[in-house]
Amino acid sequence: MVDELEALYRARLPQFRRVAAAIAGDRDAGRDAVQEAFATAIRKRRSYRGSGPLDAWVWAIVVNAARDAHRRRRPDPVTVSEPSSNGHAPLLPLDLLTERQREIVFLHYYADLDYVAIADALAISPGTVGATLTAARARLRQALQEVER
Amino acid sequence: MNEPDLLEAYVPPFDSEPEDWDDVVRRARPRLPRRRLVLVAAVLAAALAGGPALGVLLLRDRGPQLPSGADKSRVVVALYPRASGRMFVALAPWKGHDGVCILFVGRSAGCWHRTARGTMALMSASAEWGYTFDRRATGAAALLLSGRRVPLAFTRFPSLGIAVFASTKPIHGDVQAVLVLAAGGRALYPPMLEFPVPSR
Repeated sequence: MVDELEALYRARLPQFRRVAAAIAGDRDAGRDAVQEAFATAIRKRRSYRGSGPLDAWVWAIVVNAARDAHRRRRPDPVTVSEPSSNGHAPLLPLDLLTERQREIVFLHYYADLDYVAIADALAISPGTVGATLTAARARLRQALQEVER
Repeated sequence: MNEPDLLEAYVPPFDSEPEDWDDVVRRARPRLPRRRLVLVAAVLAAALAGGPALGVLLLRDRGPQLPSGADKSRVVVALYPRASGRMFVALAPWKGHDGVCILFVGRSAGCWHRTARGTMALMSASAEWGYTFDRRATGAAALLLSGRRVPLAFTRFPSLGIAVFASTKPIHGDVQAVLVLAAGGRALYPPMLEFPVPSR
């Protein structure tokens, strides 16, 4: 099992890091979240029942670790003065999405996961993934058109 | 700008960054739960700052006691976890002698003169334990009739110049003797088949 986790880590590390960084809102926090997530996966490997794909189980742990990292670094709203609080360039359109929409968008674009894999990772139904992604893309398109006007 | 451009700019790829699986493995090592850590720290602090008091608390009303010749102001306590409950060992300098008094709580107690090779092993139906003054000793093992060796927990007490060993798990098989081992696993003495009664 540890060997399989290591193989998954080596095969898809850039995607894991990119999704984690996007959710955490910071590249360093994303890197750290992935390291911590795989360590958690090793420690809890006996709780993996094998009923779904291993990578979906690991994705769920990575997403949770990145969410925790985001919560830890979230600034006090009273003190925010920048237009974006996510630590990246202040691209407002992504900030307009809900947390779930953003996670689904990141898993879809950065990790190239299909609806079923995203559903497994976030413990929701594939139908919810599709509907949420459609709504998120519509919101992004609308925001981008407004920016270009 | 379209969606892919936006996402590409939002978090640039990590493609060229090095991986660090060793760091993952390091982080995965079991950590002591905070409560247990606090308990261990408290016991250590008590052992360092108030060893004698801790010893008195642990040893009260549990069968054999430290002999009256023990310097009870300088008690050192060791604890061996066992499947059948923890085993405490208390040691103290022997007042007026070059030696050490030892109490294997609930089992045996006595004071022994220090000699360069002074070693003793005790066996019972439920446990094997003993001590050695021999500075060459680095471990101990129970020798089974089958010839197999089962390692015993081995603790050196530099302040008293002695080491104590004890079994911490049930030993499956008939024990014929206890071996005191030097570095590399070499037995320092012939298997100990006789177990002297301690002086009190």
